[in-house]
Amino acid sequence: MLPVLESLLPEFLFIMSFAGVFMILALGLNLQWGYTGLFNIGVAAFWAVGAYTSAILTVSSREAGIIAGHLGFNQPFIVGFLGAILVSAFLGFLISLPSVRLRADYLAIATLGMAEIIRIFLVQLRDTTGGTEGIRNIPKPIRFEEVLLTNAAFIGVVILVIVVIYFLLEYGTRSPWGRVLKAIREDEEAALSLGKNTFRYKVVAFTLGAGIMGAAGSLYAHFLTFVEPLTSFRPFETFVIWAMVIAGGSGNNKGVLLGALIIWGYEFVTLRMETALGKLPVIGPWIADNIQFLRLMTVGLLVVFLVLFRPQGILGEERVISKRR
Amino acid sequence: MLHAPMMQFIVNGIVVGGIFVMGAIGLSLIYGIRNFANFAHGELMALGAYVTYTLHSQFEGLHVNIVLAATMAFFVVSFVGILLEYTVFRRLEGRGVVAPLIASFGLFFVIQNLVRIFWGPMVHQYILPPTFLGHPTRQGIQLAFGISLTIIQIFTLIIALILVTILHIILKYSKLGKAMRATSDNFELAKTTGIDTRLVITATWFIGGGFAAVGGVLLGLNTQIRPEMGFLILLFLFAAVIVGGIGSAYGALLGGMAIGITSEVSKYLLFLNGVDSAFSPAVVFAVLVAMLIVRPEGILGGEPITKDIRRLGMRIRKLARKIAALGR
Repeated sequence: MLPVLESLLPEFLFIMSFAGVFMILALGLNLQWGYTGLFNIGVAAFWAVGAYTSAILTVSSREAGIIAGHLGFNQPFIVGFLGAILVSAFLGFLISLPSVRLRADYLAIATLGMAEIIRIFLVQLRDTTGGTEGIRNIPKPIRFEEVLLTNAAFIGVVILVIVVIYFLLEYGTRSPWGRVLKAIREDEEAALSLGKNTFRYKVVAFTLGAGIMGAAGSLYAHFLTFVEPLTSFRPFETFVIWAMVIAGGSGNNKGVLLGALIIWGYEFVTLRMETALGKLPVIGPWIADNIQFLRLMTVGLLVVFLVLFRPQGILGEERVISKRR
Repeated sequence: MLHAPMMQFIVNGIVVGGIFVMGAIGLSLIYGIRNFANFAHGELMALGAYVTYTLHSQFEGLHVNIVLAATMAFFVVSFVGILLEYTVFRRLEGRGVVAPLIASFGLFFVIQNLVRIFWGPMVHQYILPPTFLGHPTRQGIQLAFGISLTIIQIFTLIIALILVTILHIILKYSKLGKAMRATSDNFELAKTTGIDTRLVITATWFIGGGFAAVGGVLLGLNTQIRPEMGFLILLFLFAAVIVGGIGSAYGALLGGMAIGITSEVSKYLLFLNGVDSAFSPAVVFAVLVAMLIVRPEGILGGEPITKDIRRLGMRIRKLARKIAALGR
């Protein structure tokens, strides 16, 4: 292998694994917001619950000692993955029941409130979640002797999950079921007057979206091999997922995948350029010190500009022409 | 008769409530008149705290009196609020509740990271004289009924009281205040009766931004000055606004006090029941979510509350039917 490629490949695999997790999160949010118009800004909560569920199912339990203990069931990856989807979806179902009928802005505040409640519980339920220490030694889905191969296999798993979710979503949103979701987004009263049980559709869309976020959480936990509540699942990461969906185009699955790639590509490029920018005269050290904040600030600015000048995102929503039955 | 620790927590709650009121007034007035939830409002508070920090404590040579520094921060943050209105939110008029909300979410991100860039990610503290009128600044002073308050807490209460009184006089007696209340009640009607709604919106941002700045200073005095302070307090502010009823300054006063007392007293009650007091924010957020679901118009707004309790019973029955329908 070329030496340059050899040095870049591990980092590329690392970045792409993260990008993959965020793509899945963006697809889940797109089902809730892009298609159904459910303003969920508690994405981090479903992501976290998925990650913790998968972690607890696959590790062995830790006794509480100097640091907090946690549960563990020693199951294989696939059990953790499916368990994460189920638990997140069930949580989404419970949360959606009282809240999907709320106005968009009330739903936003309510989901953020519930996400923060879940975060407090994750930190405080020390015997279950490991408190602030979190859970360590989560196994990788497929292990090889070589680290590089293990990471490549992980990418394979991520791509497989993305492809499956993407095609299921494409199939679902192009079906009559998907048309009802869009009708609810555009005009719920009209959908209601046509005899559609809009409450039921919204609950199902929210639940499925939460399940997809749970799948992303599971992959995230097994990729990092640890979960902890203080450095992950922070509310600002929900915002980054929103930025991906808005940038790519709400209501377009290809668009949100592109949006996730662009935002993560930006992250990758700025990470690579950190040392180069640091060598610039005068402003160099200042940029190197603040690069993380400058990056997040530009993502915020990007969202404001998109809302002002291009609300449909880069790709916009595709025109879908129904096939004749 | 309440026992002493309970009284102490209630009084602490009133102090914390005073800080919430400062933030909630602006959030509620802007929500009422401009019809969107401003997620950047907590950041306006942080900005006020940091501007005051720079004028008062950051440099050896520059030591503006803290009241004067906070007054200057009042005007700076008012100006920032008006700037946001003119550059972003005015362009989003007529685009529903969602577009300005997403924009404010983006601005929250921009301002928080600007604060980190300018003042660094670390925690700051105001440099205060060790004693004030012969009392140590950061230590409690014993008052009646076994309650003790620090100079900072007493100062917080006095400042909040003064500002709320000034706002009350403006809203009640000045022409602009009456116009503001009318616009908040019914925007279209106010416009047709010839009220200059543009001026009212600008004035609302001026008051909301300024009050947020002072609230930020009080928050920084009572806790610490940190870049995340705006986000950490945001959900408490929303809780205060929703409890009091969107658009009403008096509702924000009531809601802020209610949420302040709830958050402090719940710490004590949780502690008594052997639960970590770190769960206290969860209690407040649960109140917020419950209010949004059951009575989003607030305690004061809408119909009498007895009617609502009856309707709640109906809603639970309806929800049960819907859940049953889902199973079919």
